[in-house]
Amino acid sequence: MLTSLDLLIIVFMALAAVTLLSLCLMFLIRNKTASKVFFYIASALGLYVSWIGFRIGIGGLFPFQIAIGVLTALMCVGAFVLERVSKGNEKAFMIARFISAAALVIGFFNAIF
Amino acid sequence: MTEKPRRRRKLTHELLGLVCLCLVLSFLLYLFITTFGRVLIEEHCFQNDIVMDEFDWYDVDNTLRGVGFAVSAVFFTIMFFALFGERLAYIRKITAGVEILRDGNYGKRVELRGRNELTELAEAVNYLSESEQKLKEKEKRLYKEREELIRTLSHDIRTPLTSIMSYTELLNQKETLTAEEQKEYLSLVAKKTEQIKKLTDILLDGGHREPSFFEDARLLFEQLAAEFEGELEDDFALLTAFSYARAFSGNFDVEELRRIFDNLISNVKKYAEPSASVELSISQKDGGIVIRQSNRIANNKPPSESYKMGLYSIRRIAQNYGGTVEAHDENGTFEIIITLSNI
Repeated sequence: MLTSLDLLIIVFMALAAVTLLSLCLMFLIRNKTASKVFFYIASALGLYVSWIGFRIGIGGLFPFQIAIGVLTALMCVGAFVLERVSKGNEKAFMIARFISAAALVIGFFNAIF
Repeated sequence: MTEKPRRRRKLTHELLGLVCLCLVLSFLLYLFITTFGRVLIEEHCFQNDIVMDEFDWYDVDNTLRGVGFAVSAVFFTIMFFALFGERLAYIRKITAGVEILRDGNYGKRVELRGRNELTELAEAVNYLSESEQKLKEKEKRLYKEREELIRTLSHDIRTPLTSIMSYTELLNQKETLTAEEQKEYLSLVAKKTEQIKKLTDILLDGGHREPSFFEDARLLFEQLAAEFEGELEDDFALLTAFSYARAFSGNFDVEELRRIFDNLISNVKKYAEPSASVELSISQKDGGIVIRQSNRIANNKPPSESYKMGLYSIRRIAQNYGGTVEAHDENGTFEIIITLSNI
């Protein structure tokens, strides 16, 4: 049987690996379609870790963690909206990717630690 | 400003860089997992009052290292194949480009990515495709030009041929002709035969032109105008006008000019109203020559394909002199203005 500690470590490792993978591929892949796919994955992952951080913050009554969770979620949504309205603008897409990456990294540390 | 040549990167270096990048990232992930995994476990044990001895921590560290290594290896594999697959996909794209080229579809181009040997290969494929396309277009254009030349010359050969037929028909009625008239007609037949020979020579030479310099080109045009009058004076009232300020010289291909006048004569014969006058004027303008011809259009004579071919032939000749042709019919009057500029 897996203990809560085992589960915590598994989630931590999986999240760390997937986060790093999506971040690297989002910036390194040259194919526009693939780059967009990894951007969406990173944004979705950012929203997920924001939600985890928010849930932990609510449970432990940590207002700072709640605020960070909300902020990162808003950043992810903002990045997604920016990408949708950019309509092929490379600069806007780059900004959206950076926002999404920042939200994902902050959200990850907010959720795990 | 000249564009600086882009520095080429070697594909092997790029792939080596890719492997190094994946290794570095995997190692960072390994460090992150082992370090922060331990921190996380310590925090968990502290919060839940779990006490672990030295052997327990030794096991935890070993497990973290093992799992961290496995996760990093998976991360490395995925990263490497994702980035390497992109290069492979580009090779497939270039191969597809070559296949398209082999099928004779020269309009397609391979997208240029990066600046390595593959980019150069794609550029070479695009260059080949472009050159083939240009070659094909040139071949097509030359074929079209040849076709047009054959069509126009065939049309132009018909005019002297019709004259020969008319004169031979007249010569057949020997009893109504005087010896002088017979001689005149035979001389005209010989002249027209010579003209046909020259036209067929042009046809065989692929449209080769032979312009000659005329010290007094005014005489040449007066001669052509006289021939125009001679052909039409029996059936039409002619008004011919010359307006030269002075004698002029220039380079002309006599056969080409004759073809212009033959086409004008042919069109007058076919479409002009005999009761109305036919006008021809030759004048000088801006160092060039302007030939203007007009006539009333006879009723019930719609323009035929031959008329269009005649006009087309004149237009082609005028182009050889850097000139233009304007033809229009208004209120039943046809007018054509031929400008020969570079003489």
